Amino acid sequence: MVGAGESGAATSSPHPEVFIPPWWAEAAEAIARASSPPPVALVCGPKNSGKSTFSRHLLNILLQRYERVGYLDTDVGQPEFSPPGCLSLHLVDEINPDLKNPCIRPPERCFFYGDISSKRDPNAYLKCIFSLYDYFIKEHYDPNEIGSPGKSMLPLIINTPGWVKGTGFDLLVEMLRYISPTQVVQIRISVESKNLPTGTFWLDGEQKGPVDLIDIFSARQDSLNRSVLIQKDAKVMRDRHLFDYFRQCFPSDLNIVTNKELAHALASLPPYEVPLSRLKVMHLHCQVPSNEVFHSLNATIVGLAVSSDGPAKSQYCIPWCVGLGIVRGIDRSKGLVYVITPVPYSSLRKVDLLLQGYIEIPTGLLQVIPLKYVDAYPLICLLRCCTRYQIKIYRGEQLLPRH
Amino acid sequence: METMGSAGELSSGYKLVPWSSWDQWNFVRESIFSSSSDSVAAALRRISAWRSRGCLPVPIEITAAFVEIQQKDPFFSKEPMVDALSSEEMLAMLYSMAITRLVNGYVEPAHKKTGRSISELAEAVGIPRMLVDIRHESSHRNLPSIRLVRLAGIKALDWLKSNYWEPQKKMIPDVRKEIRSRLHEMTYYLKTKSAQKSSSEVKGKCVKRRSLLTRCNKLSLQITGMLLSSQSKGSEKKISKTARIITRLYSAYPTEVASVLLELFHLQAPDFSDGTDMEISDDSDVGDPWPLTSSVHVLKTIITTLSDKKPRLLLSILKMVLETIEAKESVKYENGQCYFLSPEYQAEICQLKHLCSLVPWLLTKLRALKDAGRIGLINKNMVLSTDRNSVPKVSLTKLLRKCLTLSVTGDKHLTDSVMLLAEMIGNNSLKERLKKLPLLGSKDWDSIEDPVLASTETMCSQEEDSLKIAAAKLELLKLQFQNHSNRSTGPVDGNTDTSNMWTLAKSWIPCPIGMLPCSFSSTAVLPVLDKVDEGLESMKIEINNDKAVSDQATNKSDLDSHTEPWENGSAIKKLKPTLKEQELDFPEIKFPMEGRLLIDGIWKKVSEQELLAIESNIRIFV
Repeated sequence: MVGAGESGAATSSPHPEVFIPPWWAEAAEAIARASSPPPVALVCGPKNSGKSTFSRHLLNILLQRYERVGYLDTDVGQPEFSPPGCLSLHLVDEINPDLKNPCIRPPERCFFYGDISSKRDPNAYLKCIFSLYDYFIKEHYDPNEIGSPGKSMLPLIINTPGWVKGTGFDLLVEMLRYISPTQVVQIRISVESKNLPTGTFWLDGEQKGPVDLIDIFSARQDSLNRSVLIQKDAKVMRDRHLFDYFRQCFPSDLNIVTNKELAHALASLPPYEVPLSRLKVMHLHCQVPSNEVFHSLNATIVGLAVSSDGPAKSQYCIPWCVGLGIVRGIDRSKGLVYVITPVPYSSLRKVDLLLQGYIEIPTGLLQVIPLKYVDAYPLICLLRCCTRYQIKIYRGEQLLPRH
Repeated sequence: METMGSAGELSSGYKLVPWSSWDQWNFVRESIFSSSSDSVAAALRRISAWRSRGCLPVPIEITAAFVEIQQKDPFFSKEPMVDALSSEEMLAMLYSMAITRLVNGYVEPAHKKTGRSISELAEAVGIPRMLVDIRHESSHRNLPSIRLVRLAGIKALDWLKSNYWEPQKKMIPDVRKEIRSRLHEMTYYLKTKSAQKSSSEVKGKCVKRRSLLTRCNKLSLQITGMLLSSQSKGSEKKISKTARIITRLYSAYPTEVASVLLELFHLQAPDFSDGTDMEISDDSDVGDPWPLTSSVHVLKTIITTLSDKKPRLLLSILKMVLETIEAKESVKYENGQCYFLSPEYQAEICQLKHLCSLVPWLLTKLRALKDAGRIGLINKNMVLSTDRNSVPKVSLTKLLRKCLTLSVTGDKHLTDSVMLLAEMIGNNSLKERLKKLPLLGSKDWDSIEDPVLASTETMCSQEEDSLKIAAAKLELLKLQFQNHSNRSTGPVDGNTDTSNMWTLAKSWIPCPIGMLPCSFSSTAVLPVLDKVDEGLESMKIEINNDKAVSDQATNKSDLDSHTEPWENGSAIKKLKPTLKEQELDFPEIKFPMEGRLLIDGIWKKVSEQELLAIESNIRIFV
């Protein structure tokens, strides 16, 4: 299934073109045919089996019949249209023929979950997804709710993470039970032990209404009918996504191609300055001693949110996130925080809450200024700390024996 | 060219660490093994801040775990503890888990790769066998006894100390030491060079005389000449090589280089008995009264050479000199009366003068570079300019302001510097206004205070003149005072409006993410994150995960209370917007002395009423 990775591989890697096998095309057509009510299709399957590629294909097929299509991304490590750490609902209205590369799109609604895996806080993860789903149903699906004649019901695609064992499986079951999709697409690979159980595995006996089960095999096989999976470097993918996201701080006609150029541009960009006294900071996954907050916050990626603006129904959820920012500096004597963000001013002006998580800032963004001079000098080469929060190997790891 | 996000560019051998400088790391290393419980607590707090950044190295994490467990263990405390864990079972579990994580943290990656046994790999790394056994026993068999794991905990901490903390500490290169040795090297080369030069002059003369006597010596003369020239060429090369190295060091550690240079300057300070009123000629090195071998001169040559390559070095040093002067001044006032008589105070004064004398010299160098086009002045809206050697005008104005504040002490060098800066900025009206300031016009005072020769009449007229001048100055001051108070009312109200919370920084000097631009020297500095500012104490930060935005009701009240500290905020806060305003449009800049009068040698703040009163008094006199 080369080229059909969950999210397109980096341009530099030698992957063949994306291949949509006939049984995939057929499955997508079948889903698109189910017109009333519009399909709510959930795509699941093990890692690297091609969930994202299928979802992208399905999205394009549905866009031939609908003006807009909802897309709920639950893969928090490698979301399709958002930077990592975000759970978001998108309304897509244009066909993207490039099935290989994920691209950044502004979300309809988004949560900053703040980690790359659901395992850190399964409950919060589920609550975010349920809130996004509820929002979609209320605004774009439920005929009793959307009311106004101009609005039509929209189909929804739900892409899921490839974590299908243990807690990951439990979470998938919870999700399926809550959402009860009209179509469930399960992608299976040849290694049977890695697959999900067949059938309506999420229902224990009690039937909840009709559901179309569509089992498809992964796109590519070798001569022995074994699935060919593409291993992707998840960290590289994430960093790339973050680069794409913060690239939006600059007009697209500005020639920024390499990381170095972006790092330099970000270092030069006049940031927003926000009074410390009017911001709240909240760490989503751990407690920070109150007098250490700034040590924790400086030079990190944060979610920007308006503390009073959360989903109406749910009581336990964090507020909506309007986008990500980089806390590029803190000046305590002036009482200011400096933030870089591509979020437009109109949605930014009310932001009063910084959500901190474990989304690491790519080291490439920290490497500005004349590194090349430093490299020429052996003593500093060891240290390389001419910028913040970047560094060399620490001793603990170096001591490990090499085999 | 590698494209954005490609693997090669991203994995460039860097590792993200949670500390911003090795000083911070060292602070934690020293504190966590300290005997003071406050220090240990501070280290643990810092480590939890690091943990929240998500890239904490395993050895640090485990060290913190063991220290924290020991704090809970009644065995390690002399007096009964409040938060002690009484269940030995629980303590044993904590110890066992920490030990398991230590062993796995070091061995797991290699174990996955090679498939060799844990104990085999642990032995290769040097982890005590005891720890490996406890890991095995606690995961697969019975929970080991508390006595055993307690002992193992001590062992594990020792092991971490000698296998992570100590070796890592040794790995941190001492940048200052390196800079110092390079500078000494350069000083040495420069001195030998000048020594050679003078000796070759002498030699040359001798040879000349001799050659008049006998022409047969022509050959030897040539040889000597060749030898000499090759020698001086060699030292020339060495000098430029060392200069290159220091320049590279400067690009990585601007503040360190500047401060070491200054430190050397301090050491070179002449014996104060005779060196105090040395004058540094402004125009060139030729007229320098100091012999070539003088260390101060050598140091200045070094600075000149370096600043030729890195013009901003001058700004860095300037900033540091001014800050040092400022610090010394404040110490002077704090120490009180009796201190003034002590010999240390005399030495201090000399040091200060010595430092002050450096300021105008640095400025003339800066001007020379500017005139030569090596450094350009740019306006603040051109910050994105690609030219690295451009200095925003804002930097100069900030320097000027600082000089002016410090010149309150009446140091001539500093007042000279103020004028130099004003000239460089090229703002004539500013220059005129500066001249009107009493301090800068102080040169005239000498003539006034010469009563022996002056007749009473001239004295009277002089006095009258000076009174008139004083009246004019008061008028000026009053005007500025009014301007100021008019302007200060406006923006404060506007700022309480929530819509202005996010504003784009008006001026910005490029600097790496996580650092702040320093407006004086236009280099980047690490922000001070520890300082507890009075104005910020009212700041409310919700870190409690569940409480923060749990439900809409508290949410609202949170928001309400959030605006409160701003509205009730101290005067400092309310002044902030106006201060910002001032920075933005330069010609209107008010000086720190604004609204102040020199009364009994102290600059006192005066109100408009007081000004009026004084003014009327003057009229009566005249």
